[in-house]
Amino acid sequence: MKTVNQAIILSAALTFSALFLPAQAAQSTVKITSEVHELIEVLDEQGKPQQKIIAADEITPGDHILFTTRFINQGDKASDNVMITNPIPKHTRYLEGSAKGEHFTITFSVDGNVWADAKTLKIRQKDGKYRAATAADYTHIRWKYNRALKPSEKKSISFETTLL
Amino acid sequence: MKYLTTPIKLSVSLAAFLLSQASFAGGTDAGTIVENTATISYSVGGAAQAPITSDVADFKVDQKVDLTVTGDSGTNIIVSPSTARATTGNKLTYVLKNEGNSPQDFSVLVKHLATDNFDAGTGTTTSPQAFEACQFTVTPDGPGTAIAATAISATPPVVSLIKDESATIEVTCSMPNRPDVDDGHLSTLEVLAAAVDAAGVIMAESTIADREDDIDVVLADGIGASDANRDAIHSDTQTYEIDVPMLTVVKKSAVISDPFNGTAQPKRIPGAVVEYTITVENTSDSVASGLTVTDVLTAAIAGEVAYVTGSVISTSGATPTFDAASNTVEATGISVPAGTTATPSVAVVTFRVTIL
Repeated sequence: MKTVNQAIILSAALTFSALFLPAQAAQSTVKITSEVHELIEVLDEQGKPQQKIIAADEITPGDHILFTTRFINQGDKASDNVMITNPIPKHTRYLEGSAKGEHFTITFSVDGNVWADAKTLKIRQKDGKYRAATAADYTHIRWKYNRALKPSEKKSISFETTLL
Repeated sequence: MKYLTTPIKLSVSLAAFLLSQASFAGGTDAGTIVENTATISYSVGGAAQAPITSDVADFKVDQKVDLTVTGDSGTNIIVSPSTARATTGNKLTYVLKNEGNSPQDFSVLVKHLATDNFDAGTGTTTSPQAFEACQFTVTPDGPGTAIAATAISATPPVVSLIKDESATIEVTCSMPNRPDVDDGHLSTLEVLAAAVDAAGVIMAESTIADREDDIDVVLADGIGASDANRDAIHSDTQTYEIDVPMLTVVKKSAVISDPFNGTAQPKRIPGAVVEYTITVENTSDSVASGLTVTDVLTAAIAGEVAYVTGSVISTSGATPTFDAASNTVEATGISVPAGTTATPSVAVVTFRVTIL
């Protein structure tokens, strides 16, 4: 009895894990990490405003947040079709134009299904008509790497939001 | 196998709805944990691999303490002297708002400024209106216990407001009697609200380094009428302005008769009778009562004219008299109703003299 139960639980867990995308330590060749910082404005020696990256302490509504994602190819083969999808965190609003990544094509979505660049993405209004989507409408950002990720190659991408 | 312990937001439409909901003035609630995860998909040698999700990068939203006190009127509140505290117009109104991102207690202090002409709710004379010290009420728009009419004192009461909630503060006072106050005199009252903790101590900014699992305090209030930036206090003033009747007095004369022409085109020659008309005009919207019109006949004193005994008449319920010793015409107890600039109300006193 005990064995059967365990087998059932294990298979349920495996199914569950397939839905929830766990890290597969034995086989993963790409390692991905996510970081959060605050961006503040300081004046340099000439009195010009510069942006400074500080730890995300004492964040209150209105503050400027920087999310950075780093990944590295830990395997011995190159990876293709590398694509990173990032839902925009709850309680934040994406800052237009802030998504960055060298050699990436960056697209956005307002529903997680349809992807388009910032200029062409549209959102459906209540009356059924479509209008151009703005940064406040975005729900996801996607970075598509235009090259192959070579073994040991490291890349980082980032985007900024305000805390609502 | 590593399982994610934090839930993924599978419902994207719900996320969009919640994002649009969070744009209140106070902002995201203090204590909220904001999380970010990224998922990477890739293939090796053309074979798609299982997508990998990053660890969660998160932070806890700290407490932003912010408040505003705003006087309701951009202009002075016009009041009449000798009016009771309960008089409809004797009210100053302010709005206190919790602009922070968490529920907050606020102490409400009301004070008289010293830089104005008088203090409403005070007076040295008790007639016709005895003074009634200023009182105030604090009424929250939403949840939170209202503060019933309370006197101004050094120990302010405390009101609790949730995020983005406002409370209306109303100050009422009696107005002093004439001549303690005059037309245009001002009395300014200031309301200072301070964000306080459960012990009644004014909130202070967290001076220690951020503690990841605790909520730190950031003060975000601005500069008010008499408080500093980011001191957990905001303030504003409102002013009573005394309005008393605007009266003008005009004196005219007309010759009534002379010994030679009689009343047909009489001239001002010795023996002629001249009638003086003193007109008091009220162009204000308040009745003027208890007036006394006094005219010292300097020409009589100089021996140029002689008062015609018994000739003084008043049209406005006054008791006119002439004092021969001082050559003074006096009419007391005159009342002039309210009028307008275009059509003033008048009270008239007339008397006659003979040219000597």
